[in-house]
Amino acid sequence: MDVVLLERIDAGQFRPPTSAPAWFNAVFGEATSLSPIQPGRRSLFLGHFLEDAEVFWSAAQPEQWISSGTFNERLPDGGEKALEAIALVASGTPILLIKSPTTDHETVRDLLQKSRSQSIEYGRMIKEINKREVLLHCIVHDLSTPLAGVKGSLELMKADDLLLPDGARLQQIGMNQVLKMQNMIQEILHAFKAEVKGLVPTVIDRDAGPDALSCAREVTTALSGLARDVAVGLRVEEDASVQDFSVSADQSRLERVIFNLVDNAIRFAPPGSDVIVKVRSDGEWIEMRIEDAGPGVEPSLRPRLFQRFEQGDSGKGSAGLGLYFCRITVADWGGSIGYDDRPQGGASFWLKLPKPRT
Amino acid sequence: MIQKKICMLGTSGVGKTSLVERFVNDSFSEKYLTTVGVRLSNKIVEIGEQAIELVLWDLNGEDKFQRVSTSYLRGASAYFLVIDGSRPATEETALVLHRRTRATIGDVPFIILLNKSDLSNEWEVSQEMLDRYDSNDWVARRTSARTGEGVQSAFQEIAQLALTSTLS
Ligand SMILES: Nc1nc2c(ncn2[C@@H]2O[C@H](COP(=O)(O)OP(=O)(O)OP(=O)(O)O)[C@@H](O)[C@H]2O)c(=O)[nH]1
Ligand SMILES: [Mg+2]
Repeated sequence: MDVVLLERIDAGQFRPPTSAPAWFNAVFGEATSLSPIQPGRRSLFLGHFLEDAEVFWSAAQPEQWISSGTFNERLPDGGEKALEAIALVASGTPILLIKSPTTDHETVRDLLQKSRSQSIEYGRMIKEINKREVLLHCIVHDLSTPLAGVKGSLELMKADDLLLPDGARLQQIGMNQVLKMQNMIQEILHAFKAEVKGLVPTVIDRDAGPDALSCAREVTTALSGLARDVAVGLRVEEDASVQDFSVSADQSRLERVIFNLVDNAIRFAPPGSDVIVKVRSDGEWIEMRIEDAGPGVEPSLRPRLFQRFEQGDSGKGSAGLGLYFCRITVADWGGSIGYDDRPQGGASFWLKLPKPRT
Repeated sequence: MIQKKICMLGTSGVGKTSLVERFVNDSFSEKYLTTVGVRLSNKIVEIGEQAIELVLWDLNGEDKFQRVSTSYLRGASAYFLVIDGSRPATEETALVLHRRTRATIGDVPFIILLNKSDLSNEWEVSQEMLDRYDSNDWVARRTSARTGEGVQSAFQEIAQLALTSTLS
């Protein structure tokens, strides 16, 4: 059996067990003759628990017991044994039980292992996906915008007949290369994911669009867990007099933009403070503000805040590329993005998004 | 010989067991084997002329699945708060454990370990975090159980702290 019962003789001293399994002898020493054993000397952990046990035994009531919780002891063969010690009183005698942990130890261990590995893995995955998609978007944007410019110029050359006889041939070569590159960009996108295929300057419907307020709500719901973990309040405040918050934008990308800004705000907000997403109407625009009570953005960083690879002082999170992504995305829709200090301290990032044409 | 009990505190997967393994056996494993319950290890260090036996209490990680029992803290001369520098959210749990430890055993010296410093691409320790430690007069060190960076010196430093705190 996997339980050893030891009868207490004196503080730290126990009557040797009549028989003991191999692991007991390996950890606590072979019990010889009838002289008392001192298991607390062989295991520092048990020694620590016996201090609690002594206090307990001095005042214990029948049917009460205390447990040491699981502890792990090394075996001479290099392996390990998980154990649990229990102090109780039986017929007036203090008893120490040493045994394998109560609940099915292996099952508990496996469950913990799985849950923990998964939760770490999940966090890493989310971070990776975000990083990759934002990076991909930026690369594609940076390649395709100038490329479109090159293509346009080449087309003009031909159309305007600016070409010397040899020039026409060269223009054709240049044009072929441009088309090749554009195809390549499409292929890169394709290789990554079907969903990001639409990343190159999006064609959006100017006459209808997603509801900015529901996008904000969608994002705050998704981030409420993170906010709770760091004890930050998170809420949306809308101007109640506004009927229609629709904007001319692409819904999933708008949510990603808001996600970036709110995620950042939560990271910088001190525990106990609130992150607020304010949505209101301003003439032809819907304005959204993401406010936190964090340290704000240092004046020296502001001019380059929305540029590529600017990240505060090796800042929390990957704000740098994130904000760049936000700017180029919003600019694609004809909107704008900016930063203000909050009068009462903290940061206020704003988005101005065009309303759909009515 | 003087014995000093040192606790390893932090959320799961930050590298508590790995740091102890690196320090005691100079080894490292990439594989994650979560610690259930407590595991004690010891190693002798020398502070000046004096040899001290460090008894390292590698405790289970505190997370939504399990808490660290305060009964394990009694008698600690110092403790490490271990944070995974690639997962800034692990700081929160370290601070919770710090508050609980202080409430249980009082003002015992501690060192913050920003572990996994080898993951430079993933590193997310901000200046703001470091400034906050500074302004609290907290000692924080970068370590990597994988490469060994900063590990020996951190344990040496905590031995020193453990010694002086109980002398006074
Ligand atoms: N790259 C890197 N990985 C590390 C480092 N330290 C630990 N790890 C890895 O992180 C994972 C968790 O390490 P552990 O030492 O088991 O973490 P722990 O804090 O003891 O975890 P629990 O026992 O679950 O609380 C393992 O896969 C380790 O290989 C480090 O310095 N660098
Ligand atoms: Mg461990």
